Amino acid sequence: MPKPKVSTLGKNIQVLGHFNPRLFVPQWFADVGLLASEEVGDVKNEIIHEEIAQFALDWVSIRVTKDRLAASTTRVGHIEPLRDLVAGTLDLLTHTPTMSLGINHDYWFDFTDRDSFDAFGWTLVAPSNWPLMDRPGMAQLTVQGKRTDEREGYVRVLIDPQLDGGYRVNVGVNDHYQVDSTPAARCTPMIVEIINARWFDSIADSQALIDDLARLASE
Amino acid sequence: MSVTSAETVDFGHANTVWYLNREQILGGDRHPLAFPERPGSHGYYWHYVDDALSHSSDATPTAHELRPIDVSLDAWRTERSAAQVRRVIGPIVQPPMPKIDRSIVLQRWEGRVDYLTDGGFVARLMDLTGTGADEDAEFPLDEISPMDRPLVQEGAVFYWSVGYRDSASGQRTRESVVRFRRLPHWSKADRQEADRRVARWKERLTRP
Repeated sequence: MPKPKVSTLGKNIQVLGHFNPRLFVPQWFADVGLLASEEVGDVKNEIIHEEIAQFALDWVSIRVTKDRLAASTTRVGHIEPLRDLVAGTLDLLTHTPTMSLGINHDYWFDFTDRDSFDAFGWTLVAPSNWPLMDRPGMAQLTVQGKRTDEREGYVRVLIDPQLDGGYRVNVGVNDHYQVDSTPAARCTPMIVEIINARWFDSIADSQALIDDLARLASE
Repeated sequence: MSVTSAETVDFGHANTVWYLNREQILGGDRHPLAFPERPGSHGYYWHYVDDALSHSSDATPTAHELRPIDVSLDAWRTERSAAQVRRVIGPIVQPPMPKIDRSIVLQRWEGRVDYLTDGGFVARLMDLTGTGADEDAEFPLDEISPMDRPLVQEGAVFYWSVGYRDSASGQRTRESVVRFRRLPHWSKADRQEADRRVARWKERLTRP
């Protein structure tokens, strides 16, 4: 089978905890030096509300709800600034109660034809296991594995074929860290430490998973 | 764009409904969806289904997880119980997958400013794609965006990437992006607290 073309769709960092969305106005990020004043003057899609704060610049989107801080970029050239933005934000909010961190890597696979697209799904989910279904195919698959480092959490891969007539499969790698077994006061500093210490390994590990999946797709 | 009309009503743990105006939906970079505007309303209601996120607790809601609700503005404002609203939810429409930009990076570096020159700086570059050795390079200040120029100092860290950007419309452009690292400013109180901690540790370490 021809190997699918693999592209990076983006990266996002998500932190679960208890946040006050009203704090996260664009100007706050400029005031504390994490974004330039010039760029926050040009935010898009801004919503500031008791339940949600959301805005987007040309390289990053930020959404904060009461239980989640999420920042994402589709600009691969801005993934380190994304890391700095989230780590810097949490560095200023060390007393914010947090529980877990997801460093998420989104890719897509472009298959050249229907046969290789179908074969990929059938390799991962064998149709022989579904004898009662007519032409069964994988619509979505999530696989979770234990972490291979000493940290708590898991690695989860979501494989999501786009059933729109094309041959594209979105693949997300969720590098998840659970920190709530540590004393509450240390959770947020620990998340900052993980973001900074694990960043490049997280990218490399996700890339290795993706390379392996792409190899599987071409067999 | 500032927003004055966003409304949120929480039904408890399971469901939350967002009311967003037309620009917020159409202008969103993740949800550039176009649904026909409902007669008599000023925008759209979106059903934010927390259950749909359970397969990936860290996922940002995607277009597939935001569903239009078939209810008029007035009906919504007067019928706020979960049961009532669930009754008026219309058939779920799966919006098409939005087309989005994507970028292809050929090379990424992390740089550290070594010294300043007339009209530029020399930096040590570390290859982040893992394919090359560290190298030195000179950058003219003209290549740095005006908002980052105040950050150009000896020791400052920046990121440089070279690649392509494919727009949703299919246009490919070559990109070279330099962005300086921004770290949070610490307040005077934060610095004083840090000084106090250092003093305490110093005292403990030097105590016989």
